[in-house]
Amino acid sequence: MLNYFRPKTINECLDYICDDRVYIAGGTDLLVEMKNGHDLSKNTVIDLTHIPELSGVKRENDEIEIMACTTHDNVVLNKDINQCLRALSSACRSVGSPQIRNMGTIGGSVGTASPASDPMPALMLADGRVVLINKKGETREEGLEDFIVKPGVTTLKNDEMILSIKVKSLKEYKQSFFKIGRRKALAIARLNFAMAILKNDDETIKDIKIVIGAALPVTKRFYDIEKMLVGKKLTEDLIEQVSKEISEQVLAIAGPRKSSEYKIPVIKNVVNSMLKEMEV
Amino acid sequence: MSLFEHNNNKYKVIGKDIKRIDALEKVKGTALYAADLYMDGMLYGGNVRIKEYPAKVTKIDTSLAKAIPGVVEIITCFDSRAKKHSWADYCYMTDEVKFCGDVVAIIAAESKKVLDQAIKSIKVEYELQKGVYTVEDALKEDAPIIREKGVGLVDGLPSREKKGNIFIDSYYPVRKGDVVEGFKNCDVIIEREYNVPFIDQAYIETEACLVYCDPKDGSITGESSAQNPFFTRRYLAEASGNTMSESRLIQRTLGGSFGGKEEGVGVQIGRAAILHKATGRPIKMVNSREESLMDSSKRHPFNFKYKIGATKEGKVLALEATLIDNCGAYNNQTQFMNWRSSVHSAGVYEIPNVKTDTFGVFTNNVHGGAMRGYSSPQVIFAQEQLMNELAKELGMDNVELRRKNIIRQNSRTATNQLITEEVILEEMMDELLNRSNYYNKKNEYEEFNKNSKSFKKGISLVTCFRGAGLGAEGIDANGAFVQATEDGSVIISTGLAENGQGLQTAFAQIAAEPLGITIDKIHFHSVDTHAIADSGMTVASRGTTMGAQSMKKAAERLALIIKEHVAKKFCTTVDKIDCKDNYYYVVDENFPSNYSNEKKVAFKDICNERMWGGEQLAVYEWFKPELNDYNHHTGQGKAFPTYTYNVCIAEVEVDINIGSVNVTKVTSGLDCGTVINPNTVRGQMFGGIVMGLGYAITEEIELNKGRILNDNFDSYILPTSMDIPEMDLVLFESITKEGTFGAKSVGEPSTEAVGAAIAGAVSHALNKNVDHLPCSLESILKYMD
Amino acid sequence: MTDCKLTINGKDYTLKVEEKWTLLYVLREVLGLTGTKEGCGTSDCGACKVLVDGKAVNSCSLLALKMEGKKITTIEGIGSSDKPHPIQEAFIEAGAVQCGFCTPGMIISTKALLDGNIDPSEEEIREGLSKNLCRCTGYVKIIDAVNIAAAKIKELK
Repeated sequence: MLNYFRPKTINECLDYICDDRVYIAGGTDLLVEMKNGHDLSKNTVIDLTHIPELSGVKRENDEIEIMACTTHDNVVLNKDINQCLRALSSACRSVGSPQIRNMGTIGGSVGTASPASDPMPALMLADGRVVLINKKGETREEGLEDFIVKPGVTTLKNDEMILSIKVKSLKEYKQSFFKIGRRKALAIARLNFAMAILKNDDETIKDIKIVIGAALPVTKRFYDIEKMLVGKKLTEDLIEQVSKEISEQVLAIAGPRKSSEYKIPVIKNVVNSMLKEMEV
Repeated sequence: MSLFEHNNNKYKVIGKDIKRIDALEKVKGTALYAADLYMDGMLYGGNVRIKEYPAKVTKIDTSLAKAIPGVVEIITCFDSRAKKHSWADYCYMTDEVKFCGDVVAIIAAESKKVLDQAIKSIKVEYELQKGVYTVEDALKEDAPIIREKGVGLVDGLPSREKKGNIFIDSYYPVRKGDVVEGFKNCDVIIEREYNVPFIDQAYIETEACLVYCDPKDGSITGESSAQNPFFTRRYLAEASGNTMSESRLIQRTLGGSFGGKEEGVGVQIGRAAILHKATGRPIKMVNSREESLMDSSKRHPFNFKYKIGATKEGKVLALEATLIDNCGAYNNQTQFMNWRSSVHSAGVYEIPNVKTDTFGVFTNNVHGGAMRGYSSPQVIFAQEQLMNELAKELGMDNVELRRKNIIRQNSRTATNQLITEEVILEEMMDELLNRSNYYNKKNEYEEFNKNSKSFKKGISLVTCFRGAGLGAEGIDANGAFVQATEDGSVIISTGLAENGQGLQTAFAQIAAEPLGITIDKIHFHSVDTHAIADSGMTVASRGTTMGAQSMKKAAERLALIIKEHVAKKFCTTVDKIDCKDNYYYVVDENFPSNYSNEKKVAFKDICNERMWGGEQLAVYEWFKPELNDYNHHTGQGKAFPTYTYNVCIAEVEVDINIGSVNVTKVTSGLDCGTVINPNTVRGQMFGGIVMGLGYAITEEIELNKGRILNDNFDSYILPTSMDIPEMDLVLFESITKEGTFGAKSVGEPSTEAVGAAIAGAVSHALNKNVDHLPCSLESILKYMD
Repeated sequence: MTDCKLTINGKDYTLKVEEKWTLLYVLREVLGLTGTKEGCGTSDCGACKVLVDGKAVNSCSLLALKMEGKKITTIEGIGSSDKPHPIQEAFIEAGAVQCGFCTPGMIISTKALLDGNIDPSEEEIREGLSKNLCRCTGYVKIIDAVNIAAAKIKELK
């Protein structure tokens, strides 16, 4: 017997949380899992899609909060996101297709912890933090890099659920998101990239953020490279050096696996061309 | 000029853009596919498989499954009611699992959900055996022998003197002239090797069937998504133990097949029949996508090794090649298909000395079967890259090299067949070169590539031909039944099947033409093996070109009967009677419409009169083509009655930083002989281009020790609407005395050259020899290394 | 089994469903509405598309229970038995139907697209159809059909 609940408020929802809970929002990944043999009859299924407070985007100064059940499609259309974090709306636009975007949610995307997640690089670009709430109503925040442990695994406790994702506004930054897939629609990312740059008046870098997804088990942000670049000018030599360094870092972590043959040179090429474009 | 003219007045109905007669039910969602059928008391049938191969099953524990309420019957491979080998080499069930599709037990349950649960609860114990997964390994001296009937190599050629993994029935040599002498006279000789992978037909409808019995007489009926209803009937009869006349196969609306719904559908219906016999209840079986990918046949992978030589002026004098394909663990196609590969193994070129050897090898994998082209996409890919490499070596233009060597009227093919009919290939080439602005684009792209660091552009032209129908592979015979009724509407039946390609509409046009009636008066009765004689398979693009000959004959004979009736009525002779738009009339040039109203009568009125008068209103006809004179030992002789010629130009843009290939344009030219329905021909060509695009860029069955890793559409990549190029289609007509109303093949020619053209364009863009498919992200990056 | 009320093609159905039944399963196996097809079962091909509150979604990936209170339209609810919908007419006219298996899904996606945007560009049409796989037609005539349908619908207005 499957326990299925459809709460109408967050508080009602918290009451249902128990050890064997499974959350369903868009439901696409969940149902695919069911088809592949994951037997849900022992679980308590909590349908989150009838809780109005769990959907929507709020902006307060430099911080944007995206409620967990906001669909990818709504993120694409949202004014605040488009003004302040264009990379995220590009990323969400590239998820599957128009129809999956209707059903898939940001919370679901983060909770599933897939290495090839398209929104993830853009969320990490903006110092994304996940806000969690437990059965008792207590909340905690965690940076995405700490929240995602490995593919499919997060630090989400049994008595918790994802409330929202908070991101910083990067309104002044030049941003871009780039995805490599095997076809132009319905594609799982072979690699995805997000970058943002803010320059000083003298063209030196004031701040820069670089994230790469689908290359490693967890989407990775290159903080040390970012730090190194502050105050410098993006010359062709520096760009070459940085793209080489990043690709070598990935190789060092991933190891010489079969996919490295493709990914390492491509990472170098794409970082190179994205940085060049940022320069223009 | 042989360009097809739209709205020409050669025929009344042939060559017109008649709307598909089966479209309405499909847009409404009322067309019934096999999976849409339900019957009271019906049970759902399913399959149990293991995940490692090859293996010997030692024990199957069904206790848990049997205890689930709603599970009605479980038959394991050890059960006396189980049947093993089918007539066509594949197994219904087996304890000696050789590949991922092999089934070890079948189950019937009251609902889909119970069935799924039961399948998961079956425990199978097995002993893993040593397997062979690549052709290379299968040909080694010490390779495990997969099939009892496999043979080995002696002096590099398949021979019954030795045991091994070669499927000897699939060995076809071609020996024309003397290649040793030929090579001696060449100024330039090159050797190249090419490889292509398994790919899937990936029709959107998976295999499905419903099997039930007529309680009156015990005859068994199967309704199925069968491409070849008569072949499927054979499985039904065999598995149920009934005679052929007490086994009936009804073909349901088919959601695409492309060659794939033959053996997969056959073993499925056999399994359903076994369950039906055991339970006495109707059984429905529907494959999941994963099952379809595992169990159905695939396009054969090939390894090609070529040696080709030419004079410095570009005349090709000798070609030597081995074409080795991967049969998988079981096979009932390679022995026919390789004949076609061998006939076309020198491309559409007149080469005086040819020595090729084609043979298939067993491995513990999914099996190669029929997929749109039936070896042609593979062979053309390799052949055309080879020609481009030769041109490079000669310092010659690709197109000029082809021009120097293509077959023309009175040429002799690789099998020494004299081509007596007109060959419009050069005309087609020139038309397409002009339309696509080929040479300007070529220069523009080469110039662009010099300066561009990230993107490279390319353009390529390929030429090929295809023997129409079955040729000497089999007997292209077929039957048709045309039945007029008292109200002037007509029922037509044929043994050839609608796969979605528009066969129903084409056949309706072919019947309507001699009968002088409009299409809306015709009802196409889908294939029912009780209602019409075995007309062979709907394959080899033979449907219209050969398969409709009997329909034409039958319609013509009925038209003659009606004309005789009308002639008698108006006291004149048959040669003075004509028919059009549902009327028969006495021809009289004195009138603008060619007849006077006094001497005209409605078709329906004649039918009515004849029906009440006890006069014949229905005709059955059989067509059998002239036997081809072909020697299978030397691969010489008349292989096909006629050939379809094909030119394709593809343009690409490659991002060499990430390895992605964007196909920007495909210009496709097809010699249709006579265009029966331009709308459906164009539909086939558009679809064929996109299928060729998938073959060239994204499709590949990924295997690891016989296990398919990409078993659904998230990882088996088909092109979407966002991936299609600009497409320019050019339809040509040519004179042939073969083919129904002179129609040549369209179904396979519309796709077989596309992969080769795209690969050629990539090769041009990168200035590298593209030696395998697909041109995936990873492959492109490797070429650039 | 749980009580479930579904509104499909304007009609209310009160059913008992198992909690893990998908909408596709209920449509085909319980209600006999077989116009919606199953091509992959994993939300990758679009053959199972239906309209849910006007959006085109894959019914193979929706829990039936989740669909209470929503307005569902299947291919059977497009047009009527005596008068096909302009989109259906357009598909026939354009020659966009070959084997027909992807056709119901394509028509649903087309309706969702045109209901939101009666003047889509070629790019928007391609994107709107991008989650529906077709193996027969190469998509060209389906794109033509969408254009013809848009013109027909505009004329009717």
